[in-house]
Amino acid sequence: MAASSAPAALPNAVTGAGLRYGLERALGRLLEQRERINDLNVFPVPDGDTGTNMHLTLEAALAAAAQLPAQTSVAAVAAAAAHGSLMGARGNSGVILSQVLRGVAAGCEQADEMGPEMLARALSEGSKVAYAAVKRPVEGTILTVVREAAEAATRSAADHQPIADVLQAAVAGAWDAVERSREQMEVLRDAGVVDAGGFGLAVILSALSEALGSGDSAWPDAIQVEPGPPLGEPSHGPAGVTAFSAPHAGYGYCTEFSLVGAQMDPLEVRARLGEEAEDDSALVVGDPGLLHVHIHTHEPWEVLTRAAELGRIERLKVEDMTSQHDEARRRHGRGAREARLALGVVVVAPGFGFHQLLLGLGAAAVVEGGQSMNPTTAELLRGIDEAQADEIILLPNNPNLVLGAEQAARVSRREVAVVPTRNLPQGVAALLAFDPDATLAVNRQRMQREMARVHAIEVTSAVKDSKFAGGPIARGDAIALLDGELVAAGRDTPEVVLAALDRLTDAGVEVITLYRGARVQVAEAEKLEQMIRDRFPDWEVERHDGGQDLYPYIISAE
Amino acid sequence: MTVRVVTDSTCDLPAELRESAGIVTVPLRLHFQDVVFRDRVDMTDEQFVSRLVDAKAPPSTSQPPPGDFETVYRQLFDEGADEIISVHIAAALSGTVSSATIAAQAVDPQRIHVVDSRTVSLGTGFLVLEAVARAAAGDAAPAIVDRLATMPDRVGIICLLDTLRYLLLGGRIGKVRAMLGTALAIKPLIGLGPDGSVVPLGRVRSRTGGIRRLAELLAEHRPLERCGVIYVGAADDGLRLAEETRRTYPQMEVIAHHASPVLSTHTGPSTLAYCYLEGEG
Repeated sequence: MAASSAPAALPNAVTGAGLRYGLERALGRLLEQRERINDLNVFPVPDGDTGTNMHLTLEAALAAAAQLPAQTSVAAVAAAAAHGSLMGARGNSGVILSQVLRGVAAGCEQADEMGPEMLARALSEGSKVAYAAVKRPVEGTILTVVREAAEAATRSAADHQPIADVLQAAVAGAWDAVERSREQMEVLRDAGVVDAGGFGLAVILSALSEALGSGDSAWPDAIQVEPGPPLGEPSHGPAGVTAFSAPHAGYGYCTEFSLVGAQMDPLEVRARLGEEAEDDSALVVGDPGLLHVHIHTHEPWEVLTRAAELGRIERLKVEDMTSQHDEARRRHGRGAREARLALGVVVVAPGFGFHQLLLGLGAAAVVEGGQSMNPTTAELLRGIDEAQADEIILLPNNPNLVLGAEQAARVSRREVAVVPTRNLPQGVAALLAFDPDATLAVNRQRMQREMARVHAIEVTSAVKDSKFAGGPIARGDAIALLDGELVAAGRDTPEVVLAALDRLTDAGVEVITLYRGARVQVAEAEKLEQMIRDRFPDWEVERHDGGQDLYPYIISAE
Repeated sequence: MTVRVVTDSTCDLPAELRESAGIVTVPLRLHFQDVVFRDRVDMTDEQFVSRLVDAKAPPSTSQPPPGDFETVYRQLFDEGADEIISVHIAAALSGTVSSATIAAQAVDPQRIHVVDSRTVSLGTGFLVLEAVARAAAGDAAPAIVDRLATMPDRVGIICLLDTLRYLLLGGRIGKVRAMLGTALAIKPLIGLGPDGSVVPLGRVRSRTGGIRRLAELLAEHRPLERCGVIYVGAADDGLRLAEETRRTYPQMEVIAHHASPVLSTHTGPSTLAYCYLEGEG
């Protein structure tokens, strides 16, 4: 079978030692390509470890083959590699690779050397066993790659080509299949990548071909697996703008914010934040005191943590691009009629901050309104119409508006139920309990129950001289109402807030949310936040911009 | 007729229970960078959680290699088993079923029955317990397998998470995306589907509120046949919740156990969850 008597010519068969050498080369190539393969991994789950899994599985295969004596049969090496990979298989791609090796071993059972026909048969067997191992084989994956490699090898062997050519045909068939995987699966097409496991297998076959003496043209430097510039190479945009772009799959989160600080260097900030944006892009523009940051990242929390070390974050916006993408597709595909909700919540609230917050929590519409500026029935009806929902739950967030809301509910052509929230903390608690998939009746009951579980402190100023259980109140004094009842008053607003919070020490409070009014300076609110933390170390304290007028602070305790 | 039951390390049944019932457990693999650990053999749940918190890159888990199953199956036959029922984490979530199937093909496909539990954690555990009980009662393997096939649809898992972060990291955010649109810190309540899909069940601001909501959600699934509490890290909270649950359902044996790394990775530290089996009919 072997042409070993003609040393000048290439041998026409692979020995045990030859196969082992080939596998060693394959392991080396796989290590080189490992990160690239990891980055390709989007199917079935984008967990980015296909390269690592295949590398470690092949390592286990080779470790077993390395136990054999130097002069040994190709069957023994293949069997050892198959057994080693079976015991060391890691991940899905590793398991499939182990099955390919198992088939190959079966294909050259008892053979001393492997000639062209046997190589083709072994690859076919590898393909067959690998397919059998997968419950629902998916084309455009490692399975297609091994099958097409085997088919190409079989054709070549049938033409009586030498083993080097048969191997090279397998390699060419493999890379063809890899290239086409991009078109075979939607996830790959969307991500603009080829299949990771298939790529890994083609790397292994190429390395074998290379090691066995025929690989001059086999190594696929040319194969374009990713669009765009090389990973992580920065490009420079207009003056003052540095862009960082990297080609990668997935949508992640569009994270935008302003960074307020002193002596910030946009380049340095980009370098710090761009690390988290390795998958996509980072844009940092502005001057040393105020930068605008726009990053696509899979880890917005990491970006924000880093950013917070560099300056104060303002105007933060984080958007899930995958959901935007899906939403756009859904609308495009099914038409606007579907955008209508079955059940929506309309909330009355003052201030830009509250509006944003409530819409973020899923309110279908927000109607401007608050103390001493109650919306009219007509305004409520307009909000109900804007909500674009068949059934509406209306949250008045003010005791003086409950009747007006019920009036609007009666007048509306829609089915409207009022959940009589008396303040914004109750409104937020009710909205949090809202489940768009449950019925109106279930939601109403659940929202009423949840609104009753939150305490609200509303801080405002006295409009006239008065008195309460705690003493006299002068016009202009800060006063605090706890769940509608006046519990503290005084000159100093923070002291009044703390006095009101003291009432809650035995109420099982875990989270305090401080909503800053429009007329309070950020620094003042920060100071108050710190005072609350110091006084009540067991409580979690959050501060948000409510933007409400007349009430310096609205506080929820739950 | 001896029927032996094999499962994997994700089933979240307490070790004493598995040992006394003669259940053989094959460990999944945990990967931190390039270092591989056998789940609950080389690394405890608590070690895993502390690494989960510290790790820059999320750790990954993967199915046991087929060779592990081959070894276990052969050994059980050597010990005199006539048939083997091998019950594992949902195939949609892990390749464990396929590793087991490959091994069964190699060892004895006629006498080894690999069952996709179509659930995780104690959900798988409930199927394992049923298999053991039926085997002890003398049922033949095919009858047991038929019985197990009726169970996954009655299993549910409801979790109170401390943060959405780990769900995001795992790429299994699904419908829970809607919860991201807010600046408020929120603790989400989610249901885990058999395919790893995540269904939003609610959102709360405080842990106390979340635990209360968990109990309300569980009550919606009465009558219950089985129920257990699983926790990630927060053992005190988990054991307390189990104690309260026993008071609410005095006739029920409430298993309490740390969640396996497969679940912990996706839900994150401080997760509390109920896993239940609804009664039939």
